[in-house]
Amino acid sequence: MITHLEHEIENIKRKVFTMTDAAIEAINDSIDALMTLDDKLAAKVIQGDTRIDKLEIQIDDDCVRTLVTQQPAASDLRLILSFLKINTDLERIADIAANIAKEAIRLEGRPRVTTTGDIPAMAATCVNMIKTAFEAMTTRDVSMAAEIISVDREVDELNIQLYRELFAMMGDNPQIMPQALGLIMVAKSLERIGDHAKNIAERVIYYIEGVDIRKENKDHSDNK
Amino acid sequence: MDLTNKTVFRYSISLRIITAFSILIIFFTVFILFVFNGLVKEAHIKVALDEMRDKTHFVENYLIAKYNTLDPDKKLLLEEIKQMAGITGLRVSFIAKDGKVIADSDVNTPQSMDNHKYRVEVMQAEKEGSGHSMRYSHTLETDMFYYAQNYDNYILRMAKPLPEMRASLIRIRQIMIYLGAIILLLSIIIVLFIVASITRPINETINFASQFASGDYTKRISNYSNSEIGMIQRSLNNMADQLVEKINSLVFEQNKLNITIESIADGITVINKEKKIVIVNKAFYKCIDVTRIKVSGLLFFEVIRNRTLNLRIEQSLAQAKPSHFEEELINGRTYDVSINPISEERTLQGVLVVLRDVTEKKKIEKIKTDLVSNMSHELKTPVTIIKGYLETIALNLNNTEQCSGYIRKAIENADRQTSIINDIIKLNMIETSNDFANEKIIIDDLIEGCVNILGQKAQLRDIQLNKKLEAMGEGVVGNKFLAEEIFFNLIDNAINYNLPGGEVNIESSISNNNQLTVKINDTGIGIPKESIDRIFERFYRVDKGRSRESGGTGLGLSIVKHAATLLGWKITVRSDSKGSSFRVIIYL
Repeated sequence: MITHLEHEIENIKRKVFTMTDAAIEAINDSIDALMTLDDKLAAKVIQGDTRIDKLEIQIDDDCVRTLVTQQPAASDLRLILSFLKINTDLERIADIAANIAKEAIRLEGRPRVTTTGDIPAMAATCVNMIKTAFEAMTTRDVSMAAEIISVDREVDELNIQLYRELFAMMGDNPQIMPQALGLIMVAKSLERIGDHAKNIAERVIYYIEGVDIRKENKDHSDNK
Repeated sequence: MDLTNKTVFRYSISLRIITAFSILIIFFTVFILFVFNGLVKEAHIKVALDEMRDKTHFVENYLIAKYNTLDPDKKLLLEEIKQMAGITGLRVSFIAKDGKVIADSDVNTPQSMDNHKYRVEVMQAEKEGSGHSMRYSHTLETDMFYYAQNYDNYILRMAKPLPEMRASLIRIRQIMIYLGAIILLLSIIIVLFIVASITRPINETINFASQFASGDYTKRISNYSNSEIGMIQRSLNNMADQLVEKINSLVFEQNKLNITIESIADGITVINKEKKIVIVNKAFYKCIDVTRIKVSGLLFFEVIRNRTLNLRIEQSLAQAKPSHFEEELINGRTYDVSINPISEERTLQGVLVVLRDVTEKKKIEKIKTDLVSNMSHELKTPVTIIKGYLETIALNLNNTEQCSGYIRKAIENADRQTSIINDIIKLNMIETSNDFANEKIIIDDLIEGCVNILGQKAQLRDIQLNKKLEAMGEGVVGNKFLAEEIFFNLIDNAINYNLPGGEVNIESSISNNNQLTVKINDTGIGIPKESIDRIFERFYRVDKGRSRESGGTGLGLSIVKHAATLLGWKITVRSDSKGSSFRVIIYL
């Protein structure tokens, strides 16, 4: 027998996962658009962002309504509180993907600068982080969620590496300035998507254990 | 649970049997006690009665002997009575017919005594001549036996204490109680033994049943007992065997099904109407790129990270409608997705999702469409150019010098068209024809021939042709035409895509494991990494502008590949920015 609360939670869950899929699709499509210089695909991503924004408002409403009318407790309460925050992170991720798509349009078919640092691989890592965070949520696996936080550092490293490389290339060949600047911006965007994925993982840990991992980390740094 | 059950069960059986036995034994003991009591009493009374009768006769005789009458007067009686009591050792009383005691051996003043008319023995004596009775005397605290004999004027009564009777009765009772107790104890022991012998097999059966129920299918009842329970045990064992057989066959069927589902290369999953994944195979995990968690039992949208697929599954679950589409999933491959509702008795039970990888098919489709557009483009270009020149010639017929130049160019393009068409015909022939005769071919001679034909072209482009061929005494089995096509096209390409002043090196070597490798290296422009897989496609050009300039038809490598396939040879490519290296591997 499914209670009313369980039904509500499943409903919210479905919407959050739909939003996750949309965000992942936005990341993949925006990077595809950038790599193949596909203006149409880029436009699709930018358009899709409004749908994600609407979904965010819906999820917020649903969460608040469930909190007020069902008064969930313990892990149910933490799940809904986590969803409220994850929701914002997903919306930001979709926004960033739209920005990458805009960058693809801005390149106006200029040939791509080849770098050793791999932007599609960076995007794939980000997508995998988001995917793993939600897998950790469904299986309530804290260690899996904790791994994501360390993967985020890899993404940060990749961003710095790409930045240095592109900076050096611009010095050698000022002609590629527009493309290189665009790629720097895209890499930075992906780094921020990684940060949001890390936030999601932190919320997942909060949902499973009821501990805010950020506080713990802060305590550690205070000790240093 | 089963422990308490068992004990209660055993107690109830033994308790019931023991209770029944006890009641029976007690009843019989009491009955026998009563019978013995009666018998003992009777015996005692008989003895006492005989004695009394004798003594009465003695008193009778004594009185007659002494007084000549049975009826002396009171005073005499009073005097004599003590004497008589002394001789007989009994209490003797004379009682008048009205019940008054005339004389009593124990009492000196008989007047003070109760009226004895209604004493049992007196009444009996009055009626039948003699009577007896036994009573407990509270004054003497012993049983008293009374005997009365009726005479004309009085009733003679004698009394005797009978403590032996009570003593023997008590003794008998004691014996009976001891005996009863021993029998009871013995019978309880026997009953317990019997019950144990009955319950042991029953307990074994219960043990077996509960172990079997909890999943230990190897357990059987080892010793049959000889009773009806033995039959039950035998049939239970039988039943267990058959059950195990059934279970095994079911498990086997289940395994067969599982193995079948697992071994299917398509991703398969069944989602029930609660939106949970019920059945899933390995291929499906690959499709949704899930490696670390088990997805069965989870909600489908928790693990499938594709918006379109989730939306379609949701729709199919809601409307019980099948759905079919193509979609690129998260692992970067394209799948042909079909969602079919599973219904039972007209109600939707769930949906079956089948994912078939069509990435390769899509690639081939793309190659095909590319081929058509490339071929039409390749064929159209020379015609357009020829037409352009001819039109110019038509306008400038007077200028012979200019015209002859244009005509030369038009002929060049017509040649190009011809060579493309020839290549298409050749490729088609290689692709469709199967009858290429096997003959001895000598690779060195073939390469020599090709180099001779192409030498002029190489010289024109300032390219040096070097060859370092291992002497091959005997030839290899193959088809001369196909082999020639392979080497001609490879060397031609090496010249065409070279830089002026470059070189082409042709080397051959025989390795131990019976294969001849011919290497054709150039110092040309190389092939970009992303194109290397596609160079054998028809009309594929790495750099559209440049290659036409270099004079290829775009079909050379296609011909090489097909010819090599027919001959069973292998072609490998390696390339970097300093040039390309083609290897022809010939198995001897």
